[in-house]
Amino acid sequence: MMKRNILCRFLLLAATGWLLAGPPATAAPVETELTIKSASIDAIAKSLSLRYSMLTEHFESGQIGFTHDGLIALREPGALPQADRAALELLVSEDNKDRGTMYREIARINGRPDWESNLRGVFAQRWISRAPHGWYYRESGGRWVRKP
Amino acid sequence: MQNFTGRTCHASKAGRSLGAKITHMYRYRLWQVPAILVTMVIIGGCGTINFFPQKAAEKAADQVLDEITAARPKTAPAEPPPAVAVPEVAEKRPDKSP
Repeated sequence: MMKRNILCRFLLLAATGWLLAGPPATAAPVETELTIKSASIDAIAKSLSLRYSMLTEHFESGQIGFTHDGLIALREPGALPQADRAALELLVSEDNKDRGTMYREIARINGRPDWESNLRGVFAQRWISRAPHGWYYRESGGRWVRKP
Repeated sequence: MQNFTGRTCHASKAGRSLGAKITHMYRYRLWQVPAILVTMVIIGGCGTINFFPQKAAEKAADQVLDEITAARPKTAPAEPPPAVAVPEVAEKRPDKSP
């Protein structure tokens, strides 16, 4: 009898706490659109867009591919001549710098810098799913996969 | 009279002084305040920690990717081609004069 009384009181308190704090569905932020418009993001997107046209032929030839964290990487650096490799490495490095800045900036302007890694994952998934057939992507385990 | 802890509780009876009632509250009821606060923090935290708007992020990613992949400046000339100078040719009009 006494144990039941304690249990009832605890449940009552838990229900009170629940009502005061709000159930998780309402306590969580409402899923709204993410802000992607800012001067810096526009500038980065423009820079990425210009570079994307230069990188397309390398994606098509399989020299580079997408990674699981929203970046790009050289697939077989050793297979390229020294001069071509250096130029392509520079291009990839600049592109990755812009990509990293863009993910960080989107997370920052939405007030959640801790979302950067989540955003990287989402962007990586979207880059890979939108890539044409024959382009390569690298899985988290490091294995390169040719998109069928 | 016994409260839920099993201890005899005389102060809750009517007619006791205010001091006795406050003492009683501190002795037997005050644990409820931190209990409620802890419950609020736990329940509130469960809903907000690790929340990431996946759908909204996918939509935003698609918009950004559209912007990046749409422009193909390689196909468009950077500058308009220089105008080719066309020599003026005197238009010959048929002589209608008799």
